[in-house]
Amino acid sequence: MTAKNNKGYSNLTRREFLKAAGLAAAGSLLSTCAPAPTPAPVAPTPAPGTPVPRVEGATPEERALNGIKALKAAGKIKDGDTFVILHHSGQRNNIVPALEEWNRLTGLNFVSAEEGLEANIYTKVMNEAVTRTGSYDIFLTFVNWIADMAEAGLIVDQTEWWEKYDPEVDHGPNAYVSPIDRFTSLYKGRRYAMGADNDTFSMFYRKDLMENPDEQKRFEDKFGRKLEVPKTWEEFDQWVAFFDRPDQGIRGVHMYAERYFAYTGWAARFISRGGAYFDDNMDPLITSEEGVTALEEMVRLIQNHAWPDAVTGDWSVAYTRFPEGSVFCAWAWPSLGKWAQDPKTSKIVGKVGAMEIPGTMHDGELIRAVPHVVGWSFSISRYSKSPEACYCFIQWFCGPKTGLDAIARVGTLDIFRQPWFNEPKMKEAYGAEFLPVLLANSKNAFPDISLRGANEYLDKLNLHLQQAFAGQKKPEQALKDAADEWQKITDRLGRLSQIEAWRQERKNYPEPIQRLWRKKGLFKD
Amino acid sequence: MHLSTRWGRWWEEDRWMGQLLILPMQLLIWFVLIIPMLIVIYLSLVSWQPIMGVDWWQAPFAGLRNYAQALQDQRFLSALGRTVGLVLAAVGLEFLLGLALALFFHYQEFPAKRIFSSILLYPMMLPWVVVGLCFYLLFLDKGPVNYVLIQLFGPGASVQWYQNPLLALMTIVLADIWQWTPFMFLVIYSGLGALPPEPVEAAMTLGASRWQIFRHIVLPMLKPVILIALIIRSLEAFKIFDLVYIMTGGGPGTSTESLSLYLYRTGFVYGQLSYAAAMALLVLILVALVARLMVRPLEMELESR
Repeated sequence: MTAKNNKGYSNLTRREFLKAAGLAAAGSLLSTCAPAPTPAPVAPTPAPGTPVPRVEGATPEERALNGIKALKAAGKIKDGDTFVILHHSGQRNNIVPALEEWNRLTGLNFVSAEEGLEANIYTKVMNEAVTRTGSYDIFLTFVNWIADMAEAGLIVDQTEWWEKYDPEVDHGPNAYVSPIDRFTSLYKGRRYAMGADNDTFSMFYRKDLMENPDEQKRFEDKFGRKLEVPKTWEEFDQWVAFFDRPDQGIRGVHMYAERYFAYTGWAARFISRGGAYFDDNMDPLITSEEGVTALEEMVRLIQNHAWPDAVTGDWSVAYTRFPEGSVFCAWAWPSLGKWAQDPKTSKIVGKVGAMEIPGTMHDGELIRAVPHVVGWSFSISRYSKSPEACYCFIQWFCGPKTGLDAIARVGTLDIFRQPWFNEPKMKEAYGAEFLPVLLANSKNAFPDISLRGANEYLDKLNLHLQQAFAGQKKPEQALKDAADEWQKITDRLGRLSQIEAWRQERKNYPEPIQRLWRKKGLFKD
Repeated sequence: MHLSTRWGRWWEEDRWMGQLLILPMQLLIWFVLIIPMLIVIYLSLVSWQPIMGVDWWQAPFAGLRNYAQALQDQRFLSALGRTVGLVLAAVGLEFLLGLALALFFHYQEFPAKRIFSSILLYPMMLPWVVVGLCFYLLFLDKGPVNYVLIQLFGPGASVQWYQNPLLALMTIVLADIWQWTPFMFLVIYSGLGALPPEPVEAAMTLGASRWQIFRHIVLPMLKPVILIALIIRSLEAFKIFDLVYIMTGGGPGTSTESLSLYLYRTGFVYGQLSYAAAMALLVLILVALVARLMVRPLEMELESR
């Protein structure tokens, strides 16, 4: 710098130059990285209550295709327009062949963007909510991420399009199994998504052992009743204990007690006892007597009658333990039945039975509560070139005919429309004996926590439950710790908004459970 | 007026060319380093989650609340302590094993030495995720390790590796040691090869024992190389994520959760980006201090020369 001055050059020092360059860079960066403010999560089409003209067509698929024709005629889209669907790689077989058919029928170019890890989908979705690049038009995500996506302003409210195109989700002979139709699509009473899956848990057991006369006699001698599939959790625990044979390499049960799905078994008992996650004010109710008793029972079951990897493994353990014959019964997603009946993956082909998830007796009425764990729903990006064209696609894909073909193909999406349970294609895919059981379980299905911040609520719950299963905490303490964490989440995210969401969410529970809550006076409405 | 004159002279005197040439690098540094860092600092001072429905630049100011929360967050502090322990155990053992192997390969002649030294390097060429998966499978309840134990000592010898927090942590340390001891070996082996032979020869002539030669001649000369290897490995190990994520998921509970895994969960699972930013900055300050302390002996060594 001195030399320059000695030569009589400019007085602009290097420091000044760097400062000017830095300011210029910062200015240009900020001008490019500050997009428009987050849009409020409102409907893109006419306000609620405004009559919406219906689109002509005999079936949901026909109406969707007519919708595309109308959008083209209005110049909103044209042949060759590209739309990107973000989904999990496990759904490739369900989605890609359907995309080819859709592109052929419409002249549009819908393409698949796969992601191998479920958790990464959430990360990508949230990145998109912040950066708003419009890279994805349609998201196929976990059902309980819908609230986060809606509150982040990323996805559009589809309610008006449901009226305009009628996807036949909640009425008519083609309807989804209720209440799955509700909780896979609704958030705060509006349709932000369309369900494309049924992840209701089912319980599978060793039918050959149940049908063994020696076992039947021993059971009857021990318990004074016939050996039958248990209806209540109390009977279930005895049943599992009876068939727990560690000396023969068979443990009684595999139910998740690990880091990600530890809540499932506990929640099934808790809800069937008449428990609810929160009260009217979003104060947690999990430390109630129903919650503590349910966890004590589950901890006993896992610690006494399950392999240790129920606590330390992951979701896939059920898919090795049960098909290899090292547990008497196991619960998981519907696909476990397929695995256990496939000679390529199973040593117990022909020995598998499926049963309804047990429940709890309340004044002579058996209340069953079956967890619907994860589940996949379609939602549409606000930043898509044509959200309405995207809607037409998802209605077409989930339609009674197209969906039947797509879901019957091997993939991670499972049967969700009621009439499909009688279809030969589905009977072939799932096994004729299993379908009625799955249907019965689906009717008693209750959703994961699907509020804003659902990921965090569930993760914190799982964390403390796993510690209870691992013997690191007493059940009561684990639930208290989880409840304390839930309070912090609720306060951070805004209690009033969460109260409204919870008020709507609990309407998505099966009617017998809501009836039990009313009987107990759990809520004011 | 003054400024415009300065800018005018700057332009007329052709000074702009040199400064224009460094402009791309300036911009690059601003875009990839300084501005993101400023944004992280800003985020750490506000209360923001994408799911709150407001933009990050509109988030309410939180002051130092996120930092205060982190310093009282038992899970954060536990993860920090656990990660430090893991680094000390893993890097310490990697250093000892790497040093022993390097000395063996340097001073011993045996057939196919070059092939063996190449094979030794293979583990560190594998992606973390592959190593994590292999070790996860090894220590499963019905995995090969338990199989061997049962064969040797009977059915009662089976160990629940992932259920006991200490054992679970140990499996992670073992995986890290298996993968990264070759790095220590490589660096120290190269360092040994580059040492001047004269001091060792002189010591041998004077009748020094092997231990004396190693302790008083080889080790001091290797000190800079060893320090660099320890610094690189420690900083790398401090960020451990993949092995923990794959092998234990941080469980049971949070008993094997590393700092990176907790930061990931906070930021990307819970969506608490502001809080994660504050914790990340606290960790950055801590790591920078530790790195500084580790580099200091190296600087002193170089200054003394």
